[in-house]
Amino acid sequence: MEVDTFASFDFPGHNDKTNNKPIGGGQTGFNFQFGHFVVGGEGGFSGNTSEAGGKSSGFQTKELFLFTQQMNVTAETEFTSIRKVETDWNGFIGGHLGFALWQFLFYGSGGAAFTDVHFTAMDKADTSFFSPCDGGGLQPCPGAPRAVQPAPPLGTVFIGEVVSRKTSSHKDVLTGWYGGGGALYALTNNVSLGVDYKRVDWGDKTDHFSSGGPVFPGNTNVGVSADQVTFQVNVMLWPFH
Amino acid sequence: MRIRFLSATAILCALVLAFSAAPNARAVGNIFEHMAIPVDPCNWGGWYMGINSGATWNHFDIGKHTSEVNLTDQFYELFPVAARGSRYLRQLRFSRAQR
Repeated sequence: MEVDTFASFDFPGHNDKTNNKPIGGGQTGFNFQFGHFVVGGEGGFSGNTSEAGGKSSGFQTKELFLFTQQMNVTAETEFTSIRKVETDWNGFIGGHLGFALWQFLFYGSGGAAFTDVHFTAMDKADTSFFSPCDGGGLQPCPGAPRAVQPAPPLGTVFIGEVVSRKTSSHKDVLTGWYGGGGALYALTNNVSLGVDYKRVDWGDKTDHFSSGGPVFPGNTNVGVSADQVTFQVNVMLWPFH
Repeated sequence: MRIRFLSATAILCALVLAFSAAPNARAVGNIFEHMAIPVDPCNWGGWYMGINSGATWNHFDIGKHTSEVNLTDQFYELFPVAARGSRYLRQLRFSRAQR
């Protein structure tokens, strides 16, 4: 009966702030107006492609005893761990409260936000195995005639190298909140132009990666948030003024 | 005499200019009045639809994690038949070490 021996590698987390990426989509909503005050609901969908990730590596030497073989082996493992997060789209449903002045509408907004998240873990363990050499028994020390090999063992001899990889990926939808504001300018009775800002926090999620071994990717928590600035063109569909 | 004439001319010119500028002043006053008093706002009520384009600054917070490797399994990947008997392992081990 063999007793499994594991080498564990702790990797620190990291914060990635991506450069500005283009975003584009559509929105629809309904407004009720009471004098200068406007209240309404809005939903929208935007496509954007942004990604971030990080690569960490560690080195560890471990002794293991193989019961089946009744021998000691030294394992030197170089472990590389890559975590990558991508998003392709996001959406929102919320409300806004505004103040209409002349041809302008100034508003604040807030509600629920959604985004897809594609999380990938790539772990690689490159292990070199060494065993102790002895003077004439199981394992001869290389580079010297067997006749002059001293006993007991003086060093180690390279047995072989194994590279094991595990790639796992998950797709999910994160739900969070947004808050922001903006201004619209009525170009005509039915067409308006505007600028909108949103601070979005889609929350976080811990991904559990299953594996049959020998590499076991560690569970990793990922949080996604964004600052978005968009220019809008809206058309009044009903009632058409 | 000359001084009186010049003084009278200056006063006359000032009066003429003052009266001629009065309508313009009233017009300027009207502009300020228009700016100070908000006119009726546009009608924003109703169902609308639109498109948007802009930029996003995404922040990704990737937490710490601990990964593991089973060294025993890795070893037997190197010598897949070794688990069945130590004689196989010894033969393979010798041949690899002497290569």
